[in-house]
Amino acid sequence: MTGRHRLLGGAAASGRAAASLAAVVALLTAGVALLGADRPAAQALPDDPGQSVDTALPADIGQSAGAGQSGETPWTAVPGVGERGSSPPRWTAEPSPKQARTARPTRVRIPSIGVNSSIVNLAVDRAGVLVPPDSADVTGWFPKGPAPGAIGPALLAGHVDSAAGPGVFYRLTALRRGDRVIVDRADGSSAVFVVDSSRKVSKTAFPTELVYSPLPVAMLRLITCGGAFDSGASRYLDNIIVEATLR
Amino acid sequence: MKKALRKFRYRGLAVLVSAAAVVLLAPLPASAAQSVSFLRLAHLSPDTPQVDVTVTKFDQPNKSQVVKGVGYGAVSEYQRIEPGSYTVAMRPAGADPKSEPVISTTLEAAKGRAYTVAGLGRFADLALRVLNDEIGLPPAGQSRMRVVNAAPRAGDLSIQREGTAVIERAAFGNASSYVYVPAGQTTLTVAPVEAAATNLPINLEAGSVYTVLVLERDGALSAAVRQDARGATVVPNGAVETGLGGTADDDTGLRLLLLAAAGLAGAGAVLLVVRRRRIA
Repeated sequence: MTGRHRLLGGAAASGRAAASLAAVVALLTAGVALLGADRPAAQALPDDPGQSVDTALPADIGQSAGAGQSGETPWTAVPGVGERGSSPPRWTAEPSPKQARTARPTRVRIPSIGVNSSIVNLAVDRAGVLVPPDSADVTGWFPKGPAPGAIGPALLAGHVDSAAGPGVFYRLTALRRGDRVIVDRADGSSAVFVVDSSRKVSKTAFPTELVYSPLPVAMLRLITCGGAFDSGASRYLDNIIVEATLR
Repeated sequence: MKKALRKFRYRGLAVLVSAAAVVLLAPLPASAAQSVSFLRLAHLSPDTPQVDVTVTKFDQPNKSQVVKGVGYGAVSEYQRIEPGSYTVAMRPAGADPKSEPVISTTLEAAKGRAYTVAGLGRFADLALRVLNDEIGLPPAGQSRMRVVNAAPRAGDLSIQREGTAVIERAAFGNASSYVYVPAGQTTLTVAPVEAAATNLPINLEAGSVYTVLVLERDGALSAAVRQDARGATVVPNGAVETGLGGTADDDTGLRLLLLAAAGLAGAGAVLLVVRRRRIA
């Protein structure tokens, strides 16, 4: 389904547009941002049936719509690109885009379920299993994954209960779509996430692939225990996984 | 002790009931990451002038999104989009958005997948291509990497990691297949057939996805490593033990029975009444 119809360009190729790369990237980024699944179409095209182009008809190359309008780029190849000079091409330095370092999380606040907790770092034990926080009153962040607000899936784990009573994530299952999760960071900044999914998974079928796979956008996962409690093994049989998207 | 237990049993039941209520009243999707798609746009055709790009979902033809003035070398950030069928079209910058596009393609965006829609090749044979950006979990200690060769003067090129070729014969106007490379601080060498090689020092993170992007500007080549997606550098084994049962009913059998009953009855309130009777 790839169509290609050359428009007749404006007459004189007036050379390359001089917009800087940074400006172009900013434009592109801003534009694509409008595609966000949950966002209103701020730049939807005006719906004007009187001037719509019937795309089912083959393009009339001789009367290309819109060609020659002021401000339109001349539609001809940019000259001088890719031509072999007398010497082989040089390299210029173009620094790789660096993802800004995101400060470590220090506190998580979830107003709708009364969570306001400090954050400790988590690690894996010798068997490679994630070790939960020592206390049921604090939340743990897994620093081998992204920090909350950085690109990728950040992970915060908290106890549903201790042996004595409720833990920091006791009411995680009460979260609704749209509830806010605020993560305060060491540099004084905060990242605000919005809850958009929740699931209960059997610990015997924990979705490792889902939870730790790379992601091209920032996301936060909150994990606690749930389901039935096996008193013999002194453990819950399920995990609760809540996902929230950076706002 | 018995009294305390009973209290916690009751609390456990309350959790059960409220969980049932959440499921019944306000079902949340099981996974956000698996219920959306990810899209970014790129202009990687060196002699093609600036373009306006429109993205239109098949079932929402009046809600096109326009990205204006996109020039060679521009790569957007990823954005979440609803899965489904889209038309992506390019027009000369400034053209009437209702005019016939110079090129268009269809994106079938699947749940949980990521895509780069890029103008590739020379102006004379410009192609608007949908690149599948693989964001699945790489093996432990590995990163996933590919190269996009958008520099005609480079000719075919290879990518070496500390002298060992990991990608070979990457042709202009194409994205290579992905390869796995060991993570860590290393030097990537971009070695074109038609030009001298260049080195890129980089700290490759395990569990990340990279694109080496080779461009040509004013006759000179440039190469940059982009971290497209990021996961955990160490992937823990199995589940997370985040509960010691202080609020749980300690009778698993009875609890499972009650769960089943809740499922059948579909109402937590009924369950509560039954349970209260049994305790009394």
